[in-house]
Amino acid sequence: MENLGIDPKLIVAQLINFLLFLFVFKKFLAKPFASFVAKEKKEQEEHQAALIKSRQMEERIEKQEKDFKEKMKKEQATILDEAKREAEAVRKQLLDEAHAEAAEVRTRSLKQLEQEKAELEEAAKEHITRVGMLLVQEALDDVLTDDMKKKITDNIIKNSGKRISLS
Amino acid sequence: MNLDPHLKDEVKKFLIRKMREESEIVTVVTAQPLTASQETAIRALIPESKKELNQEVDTSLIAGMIVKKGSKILDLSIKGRLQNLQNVLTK
Repeated sequence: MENLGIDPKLIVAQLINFLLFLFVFKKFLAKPFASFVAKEKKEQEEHQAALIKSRQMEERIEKQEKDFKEKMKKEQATILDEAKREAEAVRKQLLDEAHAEAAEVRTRSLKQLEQEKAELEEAAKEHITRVGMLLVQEALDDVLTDDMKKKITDNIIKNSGKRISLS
Repeated sequence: MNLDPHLKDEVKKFLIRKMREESEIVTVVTAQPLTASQETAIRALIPESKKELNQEVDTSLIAGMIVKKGSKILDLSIKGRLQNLQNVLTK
């Protein structure tokens, strides 16, 4: 063994050294190191879990936001539709009212025209009759002589009956 | 204005008498003056005219007569008939 360059005493010493190192390591370092590693592992796991949770929350928030936007869009569309319907109804009502008023004005105007026409006709009739009577009076006055007038008066007296009572 | 009560009575009596007299007067309005025969015929026709008959002329009557006594009027004139016709036509 000495020919190969291997020193048995050195090997033993190295072995003892190694065993000592192992003993010391095991006694003083292994536990803290193991707990450190475990702690690190735990922390990493926790970190991972937190990351997953945060991602899930983010996704949830995104979904909520998306849903909210869609809901708002739908509500907006509903409100717009309703507003359009109401505007249409108001427009129709105004139009109907305008038509009704126009019809009423037309009826009233026609009635007034009819009334004025009747009044004019009445006035014309009265005027024509009055003028006619005046013409007849004038004509009779011109045509009838005094004798004829006397005869007419005689006839009237004769035809008045036997007596006229004024009491 | 204070009037003497006696004077007031006298005026009242005068007015009443005047109204009564006027209400008893018969007035005949004709287009021409009445002839004697016409006057006789009228007096025979209207008993009230025997007391007093007042005559008036209104040429616008054309012919015929209007008899008035108080507030009563009887229109027998041509003018009156034409007026009636006008009223009927304008109804």
